[in-house]
Amino acid sequence: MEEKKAKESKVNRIQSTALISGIMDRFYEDARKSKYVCWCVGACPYEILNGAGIARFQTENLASRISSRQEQVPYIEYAEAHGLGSEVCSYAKINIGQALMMVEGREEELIPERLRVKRPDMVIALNTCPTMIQWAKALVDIFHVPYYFIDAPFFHDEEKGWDRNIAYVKEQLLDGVTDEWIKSVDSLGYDGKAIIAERDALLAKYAG
Amino acid sequence: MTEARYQDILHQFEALAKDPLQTAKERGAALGKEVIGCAGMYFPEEILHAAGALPTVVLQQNYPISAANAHVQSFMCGYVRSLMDQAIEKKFSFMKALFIKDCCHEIRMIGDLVRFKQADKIRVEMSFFPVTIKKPESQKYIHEEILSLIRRTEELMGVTISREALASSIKVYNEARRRMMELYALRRNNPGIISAVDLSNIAVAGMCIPKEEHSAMVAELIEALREKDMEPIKGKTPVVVTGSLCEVCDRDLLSAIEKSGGVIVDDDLYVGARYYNTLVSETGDPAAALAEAYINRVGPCPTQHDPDNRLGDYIAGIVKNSGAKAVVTAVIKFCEAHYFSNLADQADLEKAGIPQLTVYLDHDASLKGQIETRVQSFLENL
Repeated sequence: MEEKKAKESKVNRIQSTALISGIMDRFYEDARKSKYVCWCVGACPYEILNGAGIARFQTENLASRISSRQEQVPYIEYAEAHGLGSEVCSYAKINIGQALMMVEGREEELIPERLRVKRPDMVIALNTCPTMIQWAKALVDIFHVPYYFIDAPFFHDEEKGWDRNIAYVKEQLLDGVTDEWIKSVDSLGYDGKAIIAERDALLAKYAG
Repeated sequence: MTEARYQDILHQFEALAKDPLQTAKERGAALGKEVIGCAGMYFPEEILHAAGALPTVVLQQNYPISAANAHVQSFMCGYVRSLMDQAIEKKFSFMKALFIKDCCHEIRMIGDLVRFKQADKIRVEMSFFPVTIKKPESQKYIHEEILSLIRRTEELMGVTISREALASSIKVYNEARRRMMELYALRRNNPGIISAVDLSNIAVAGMCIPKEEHSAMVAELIEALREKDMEPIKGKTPVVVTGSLCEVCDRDLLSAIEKSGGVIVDDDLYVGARYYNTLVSETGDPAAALAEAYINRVGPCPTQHDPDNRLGDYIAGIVKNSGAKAVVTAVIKFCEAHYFSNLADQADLEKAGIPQLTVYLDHDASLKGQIETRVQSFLENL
């Protein structure tokens, strides 16, 4: 036993872990203080949100933050108790469990203060895997907030469909974001022009 | 028509459905047609039919998965593991090609693995259809994908698919759909007239034999059923079965419901009503009609996002239309899309006051006893 304790005390802790932890804490603290927050499922076009001055975080990141502290079990159990299958991606279960706790008024009772987040004012998802869309749909069902889903085709044969697929995503950013998503942002009192400028800069850089 | 003839038709369907790939292989050889496999849901088979091929839907194998275990994680659904297993075991070697429709991330990734790991190196074509189906950009993309599939099939088969040929194939497929919907209506109006297992065999047969042949057989069966003396069933609970995406619904589950005081009056199973219930327009541009049917298919799918329709509401409508009293949802283990959807569906059905039981089905696990116990207690407590 003594030997084991001595061994444990010699474990080298990576200093960057503590530094990153501090950065993440500040990041979520800023998001909590923000007037509006967007929950992003998957790799979303953050530049547009930044242009609008809307705080955002990735739901996967939120879940991994909880699980990195070994505090995931109550959230998973909460989601499963509401009928979410046990084999669903555990990040999704943690996040949906937290969302359910929030809307059911159990936040103060069940979620430690340092892990609390603001309810989403909108949800954006990108289907890097189709689970992302299903996960985001569940969040929209729970919070009843505006949403926008971006469909990104998977490239099996790049030579066969690259241009078409780039055009498809670009069209969604151009048409979809202006027509549907921007409306919901405008309704929150933001400057749509700034967002469009941000979007155009993004498209000029990456999509030509 | 005699009872013996009626039983004979059912036995024919049972034999055809026993080994769908073997059935397709034999039919293809007998008709001198190239067989093309389609994996994943809602593939527009009319295109392959119009090119002179025999499309066959690749379903899960009915024996344990073994070879695929070396390549695919055990926490993927039985359908994709089985797809891989069949590829490794050269079950697709008689096919001209295999089209895989990207309808979830598991089948998306298994498609590439099948392409690279199959021993007989048959051609594998991937096809992507958007998850969000109601946005104008998505609709344009779906139309383009249909055109891309036409081009690829032409190149594969060395033929030109004329507008007339495609329109004609749509009519053939619509006829098969109408016949099946007629059979479904007959069951709805006469609960118990045909068992759910028999109907499942008929649905499977229609996925591996030519649609022309299937329509004729179903028409004959309907005629036999109309002549059958049928006593109204009393004391049984009418049930709707839903789910089992991509796969044939476990026959043990269907039997358990009908042996435990229930009678299945309608379904929303993929290998069932869902495969047959969407007609394609027979007027106008046939490629556009296929795209339009895909976008506006009957019944929202858990693998897609349709902001205008909720699956739970759709199932509640089936319950109302069929006079059912309960819903049994078959969820294939590790089918994430259905897991998420079922979370909302359960809430919607609860709101509508419809009792629901979710049963998880696993490819290699023998769950017969467990399923029977759960179904019995569910029906007894209604």
